[in-house]
Formats: sequence, C-alpha cells, structure tokens
Amino acid sequence: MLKIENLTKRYGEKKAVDGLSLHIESGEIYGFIGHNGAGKTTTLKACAGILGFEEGEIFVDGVSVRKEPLACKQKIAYIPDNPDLYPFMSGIRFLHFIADIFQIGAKERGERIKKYADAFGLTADLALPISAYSHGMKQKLALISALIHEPKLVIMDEPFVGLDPKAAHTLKELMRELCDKGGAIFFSTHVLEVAEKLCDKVAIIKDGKLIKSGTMDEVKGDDSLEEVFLELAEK
Amino acid sequence: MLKALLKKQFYEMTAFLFISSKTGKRREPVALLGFGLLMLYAVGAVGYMFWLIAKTLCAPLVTGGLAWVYFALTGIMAAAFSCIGSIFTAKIKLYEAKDNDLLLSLPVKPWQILFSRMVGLYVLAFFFSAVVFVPAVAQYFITVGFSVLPAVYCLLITLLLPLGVLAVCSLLGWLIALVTSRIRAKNLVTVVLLLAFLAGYFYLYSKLNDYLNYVIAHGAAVGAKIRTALYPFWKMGLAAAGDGLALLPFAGLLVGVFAIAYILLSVTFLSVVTTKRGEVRPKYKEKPQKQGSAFFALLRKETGRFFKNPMLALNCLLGSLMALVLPVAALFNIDFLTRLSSADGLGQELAVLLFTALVCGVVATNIISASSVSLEGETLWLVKSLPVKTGKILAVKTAFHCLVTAVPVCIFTLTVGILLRLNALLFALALLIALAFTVFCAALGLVINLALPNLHWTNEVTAVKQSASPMLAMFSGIGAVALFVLGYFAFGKHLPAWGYMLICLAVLVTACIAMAVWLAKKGAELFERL
Repeated sequence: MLKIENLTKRYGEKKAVDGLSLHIESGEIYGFIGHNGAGKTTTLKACAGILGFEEGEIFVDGVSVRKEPLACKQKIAYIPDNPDLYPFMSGIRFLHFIADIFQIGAKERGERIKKYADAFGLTADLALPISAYSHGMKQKLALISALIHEPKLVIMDEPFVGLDPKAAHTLKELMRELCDKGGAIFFSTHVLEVAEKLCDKVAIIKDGKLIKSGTMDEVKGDDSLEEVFLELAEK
Repeated sequence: MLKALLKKQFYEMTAFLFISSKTGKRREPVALLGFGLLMLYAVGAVGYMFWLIAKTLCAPLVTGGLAWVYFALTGIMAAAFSCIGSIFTAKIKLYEAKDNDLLLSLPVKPWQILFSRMVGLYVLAFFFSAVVFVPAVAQYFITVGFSVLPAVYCLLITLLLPLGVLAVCSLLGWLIALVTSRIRAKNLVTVVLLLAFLAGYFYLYSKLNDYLNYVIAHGAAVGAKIRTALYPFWKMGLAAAGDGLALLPFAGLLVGVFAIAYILLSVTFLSVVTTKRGEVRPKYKEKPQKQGSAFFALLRKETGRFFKNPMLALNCLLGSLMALVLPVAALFNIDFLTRLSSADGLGQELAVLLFTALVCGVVATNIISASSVSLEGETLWLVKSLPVKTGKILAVKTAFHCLVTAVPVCIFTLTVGILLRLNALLFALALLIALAFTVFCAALGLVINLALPNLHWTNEVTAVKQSASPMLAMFSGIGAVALFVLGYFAFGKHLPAWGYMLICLAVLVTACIAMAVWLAKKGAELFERL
C-alpha cells in the first residue's frame, strides 16, 4: 500500500530524512517511533504529498507521490500532529467542505458523518464554530474528516494526543476496522505501550535514518518496545 | 519582567520588518532595504496628502494672526487620523491577542501585560499622529521661518498627543470589548460599528474641501469654537505657536486622562479578557447536503474566511465597501457631477477618464488576494493535503477577489454612468477597464503574496496589516492608476478618449494574461514549496 524507497529530505545542509526505505502492506497498522526531531513528521508529510523531497520515491498503492500527487491524495488521509483546521467554519461545514473536495455523494456523506461523529461523541458539537473547539475536539473532527472519504491509507502524526480515553479506544477500533477492510495505517507515536499493543509492524528512526523495522516480535523480541527503543536511541 | 514583556511587544511589532516569514530567518540587507523603501513610500504618500492640506490652511491662518488655530486644527486632524489607525488595533492587541492566555498563565501581573501592550500601542498612535502633525509643523516653519523654542514645543506636542489618542482608543476599545464579550451577535455588532464608522469617515472626507474653505474664510470664528469646546486643542495650538506656558495645562490634561484610562483598564483587564459570556451554543440538526464541486467548496471556504471576521473584511474589502457607498454619495451630488462632465466643466471625455481612474483607485484598495496565501497560516497543510490542483486553489483565490470586487464596482460604474448619461462607447470602455483592472489587481495581489507570504501570525488582522504584500499590492495598484492618469496628460490627450482607453484596456488584458500564465506555472510551484 505504501512503498518508501530511499527517501532523502534536506533542510538546507541538514538531512532530515536520510535514505529511508519502508514497505507497508494492505491490512497493516505500521507504527513509526523516534525521538523529537528524528524525522518522523517530515517522512509522514512527504508520504502525504505535502512536502517535496530531493531523493527517492514514494508509492501509494503503486502510484508515485512525486509524479501523480493528486491521484495519491485521493487515496490518502493525513492528520498532522496539531490539527489546525479552519476556525471560521463550523464542524459540520468543515466536514461538508472535505466531502465536496473528495466528491462524496449526499447519501454517503450523511451516513459516514453520522457514523463517525456518533462514534467519537462529537455529533452535538458539529454546529459549533471550530474556533470554539478544544484540541481534543479538533482532533476528533480531523479524524472524522479523514475517514469520510474511506481512504486506503491513513497517515497520522501523533493521533492519540488530546483524545479522551473513550475516543482513543474508538480510534483504535476504527484503525483495526479500516485495516481489516484492506486499508493500511502509518502513524507516529511517542506512546510506546499503544504502539506495542496496536501495531502489526514498527519502524524506529533516529537522526533521519531507519535503525530498525519489522514485525513487533522481530523488533522487540522478548523485551518491551520501550526497552528496545531506549537501548537503540542511546547508541 | 516588564522589560521582557516590552521586548516581546517590540519584537512582535517589528518582526515582520526583519524576519522573513517564509524562511524564519533574518532578511537579507537588500530585502530589508527594499522593504524600508516601500514603507517610506507609504508613509511619504500619506504624509504628502496631509502636507497639501496643511499648505492650504497655513498661510491664510498664520498671516491672519491665527497660527494657534492652524495648529489646533492640524492637531485635531492628527488625533483623528491616529484614532482611526489605532482604535481597532487597540481592541485586538489589548483584549483579543492570542497570547493573552499564555501571558496570564505566567507569573506576570495583569497590569504589566496591559502596560507592555499600551507601550506598543503608543508607538503606533505616535506613528499615525506624526504622519499628520510633522508635515504641518514643517509647513509652518516654511511659512514663518524656523525658530528653536516653538520647534521644541512642537516636538513635545508630537510626543504628548499620542498619549491622549491612546487614552481614547484604549477606552473605546475596552468599551467595544466589554460590550462584545457579553453579546450574542458579536460579529453583527462589530460590522454595524465598523460601517457606522466608515460612513462617518466618508462623510467627513467628502466634506473636506468645504470645511477647509470654511476654516480659511472664518478662521476667527472657528478659533472661538475650538477655544470653548476643545480646550486641550486650544492650549495645544497656543503652545505650538510659541506660548510655552500653554504647554503645561495641555500636558497635564493629556497625562491625567491617560492615567485615568490606564487605571480603569488595569482594574478591569483581567475580567474583560477572560469573559466569554453570552455565547449561544448552536444546536446541530442533521440536514441532507447536496454534493458540490471542489471549486465551489474552496470558494465557500474563502468567503467564510473573509466574511466571518469583520476586521478582516474591513481591512481587505475596503474597496468593495467604498464602491457601495460612493453611488449613494453620487446620487446626492447629481448636479455637481453633471456640471463637472458638461462642456463648461471638464467635458465628458476627461470626466469619464477621471471617473475610470477613481473606480480603479477604489478597486486597488481591495487587498483580498494579496492576503489570501498568508491567511492560510497554520492551516496551509490542509489545503496542500487535498486532492486539488494547486492551480485551482490559486484560481479560486483570484476568482473570490474578482467576485467580491466586480459586483460593487459594476453597481458603482452603472450608477454614475446612468446619472451622467455617458456616451455608450465611453461607458462600456470605463466598465471594461474597471473589470480588467479588478482581474489585474487580483492576479497582482496573488503574485506578490506568493513572493512575500506571511504565514506566521498571532492574529489574522496582523497577517494583513503587518505584511508587506497587501501594502505593496495596494500601492502598486494605485501606482498603475497614477500611470493611467499621467499617461493621458502626457500623450493620451492627443488621442480621442476612447482610443486611449482602448490602449489601456489592451495593456491591462495583456498583463492579466501574463500573470495568469506565471501563476499557473511558477506561482503553483511557489505555493507548493511554502
């Protein structure tokens, strides 16, 4: 579903991501962990077609992000670490805006908005302006807008930050549901317990370079993911 | 602590000058020089306008022994201009700044936050009043010759006057913030207040010539009225004209008023910035929504952005507002306009040319597209993550600018065209030039904003007011209008008016096509790199 081949992204002289390669198959929840400034957000943004890159290639469902960014964006949903949404719109107006962009029919959008807004407990607040939303509410709205067009690949940067326990649980369920239907999820997190329980595969990045990746058992063995991460990060 | 707050305040005010919003790095010396020259041009243009007014008033009043009336009047103008420039900024900076919560969470006393913000506002008020008062003082010394003592008094007045302006603006800003924090239809009230303010401004501006002539003819009577009704300006006038003793009551009064305003605000600051009562929680009702096109979804997004924030609308859509107000003014001045366009006046050809220039000047003050990229700010990721061609995003921004400008401009042009019973060909050309100029300004604004975006701001209005691109776009537009007029007097008058207008239309259309091509390729690349 997502194939990253030798990705290199520079900011001036500094290499934020250095020759990174990763393959994510359909049905996989892939965790991406690393310390602050390791290159996680840069990688995720490049995969979402938001950030250009100097070397390498990224394919979404076999389509090149570099050559056909629009075709890739049709298949992707991206949620940044800080969901800055349009403060002048109401929640429901924002969802209709996204639905119009992705050309979702009236019936489907109505059903999906109801399904996901109910699941995240946001239905009653949909008429409020986004400027009145808390961080968690914005995160829920961003998640609903991401799921509204039934993406094949969801790319999320720290998706659990700001979510209440019930919403976090709902998100985990929806992530699994999406992957069971043949989709894939690539997300970054600092909450290693969540990654350990939720992910099928995990990748650890340090200073822009991939230092370990594979199935959860391959990466952590008999140790906890936290122990493995701390050991690798301090090398 | 206070020093740190003051440093932050000045950094916030001046960061746009020295730091590139695109790279987050310090501007290159050449860019800094260019920006400085642009600022100088803007200040110079406004200062020159007030210089001309001062020139009209100075000699008749000073030679008539009414120098103090001259200074009182220019002082009133400086205070009024400074109030206009500062009042809404005062409300935003004092009570709606995004970092209020952050600062209130720090071990800082509320009065220190207020004080640091007021110092910043003082600088702003000083800037606005000096742009008016300094040319007036210069005009006075040119007329009567320079002497040291009045110059010192004038300098002190220039420093003191903003204190009074600041007191008035802070209190009015406080009043607006107090009222709007307790009312439901906050946006509507703000829009009504702004429109009332604009109406008053236009009325005064339209009567400016009459007032100047009246003042010159009845200087002594005006002086008597100032003396009885506007005590501080009477004393100010006397002081500026050389009466040092008059400076004491003037200074005392301004400092006193400022102190009262400051104490009142510091007592209520905390409650005003933390009050959010009266907001209605709208209930969500599930309604079926038809599928719309991506283009219209983006257009609705732009519309929401500009119309949901009255301050943003006022700053960016001034031209549209003027184009709606001016036809009403024209209706009340039909006789004058008919005389002006008659053979005894300017003649229809010249009147149409000047009217076209006026419409284009109004169009140039709309700075929607010149702010539209900057206003994406922290939400830029969103539009970039959508499956929409960058060219379409830019086209929507241009289209929105054109739509909200073209409709009022057509109303304006049609009203005046019908009132003056313009020749059909000239009228059609005037309308076409106005519309082509609308597209020109929309495209030019976007080109400039793509080159000079300001994506990091704490308040949407600062993205407009403290960015280079809106100002550059506006002055470029006004410059193009000046070229249109100067071009006519330089060589166009040898052609029939329709011929000159046709050439200008062709130039405009060519420029629009060139910019459209640039936006589709280079502009899209620049946007993607942001």
